[in-house]
Amino acid sequence: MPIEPYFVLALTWGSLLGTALWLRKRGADIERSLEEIES
Amino acid sequence: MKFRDDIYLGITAVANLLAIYFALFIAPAEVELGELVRVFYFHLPGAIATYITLILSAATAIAYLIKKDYRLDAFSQSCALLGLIYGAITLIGGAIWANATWGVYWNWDPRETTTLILWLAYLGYFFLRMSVENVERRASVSAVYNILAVLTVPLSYVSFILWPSLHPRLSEGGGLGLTGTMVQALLMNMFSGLLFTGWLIWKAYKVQLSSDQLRLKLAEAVQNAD
Repeated sequence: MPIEPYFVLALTWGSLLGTALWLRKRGADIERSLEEIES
Repeated sequence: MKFRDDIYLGITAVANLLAIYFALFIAPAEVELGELVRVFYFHLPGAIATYITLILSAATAIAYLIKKDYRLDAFSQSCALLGLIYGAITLIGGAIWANATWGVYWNWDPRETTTLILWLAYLGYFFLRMSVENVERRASVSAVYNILAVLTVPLSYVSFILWPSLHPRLSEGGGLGLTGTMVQALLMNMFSGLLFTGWLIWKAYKVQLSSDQLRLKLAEAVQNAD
């Protein structure tokens, strides 16, 4: 099989999973900051 | 809530793994493109997700202008963010496919060019948001901009009618000879991809709401300190 389908698959899922992890980290950072302000 | 989130993600993961397996190993090769047709199973769902997220973003922007509810602005921004990410995936994935089938990564085909214009329009949306300080003004100005920017979606979709194009047509199954199993692979990738997109939009929306809340608290803290 040519390499292109694997490239596009890796590009798509790499970007989507990267976005998910970034959102998770950003959410956790904001929650921590909110807790610090409230305490 | 966490449990339901995990179940949803679990179902999404299984659906996507099945769809990927189907696209790579079960669906047969196409007569003309051969094994390269498998790019299509990942490229087309990405392009459709770009259109859907941006239309949803603009629809929510209209709702914001009517109701002036800051949550609608947060949702609109979250959809636009996903649209921008899917747009980049579509452009780069499309270039990889173009190189494999046409022999060049980029040849200013109408579909490529109009999709690039679409992507740049939404990149501009985020620059606009960053340049306006006042929260209400930023939401209103970016909602109006969003409504104008979404016009690039139909432009990209009908570009092959307006100008001669080599790009496969979505309305004709991509112009490819897709058989039953191939259509199944395409639909599975489209559906499972949209499941994950829904989760990403929701997550981005929640993060945006928390970020707005943090900004308010910080402003309050500064005011109290004065």
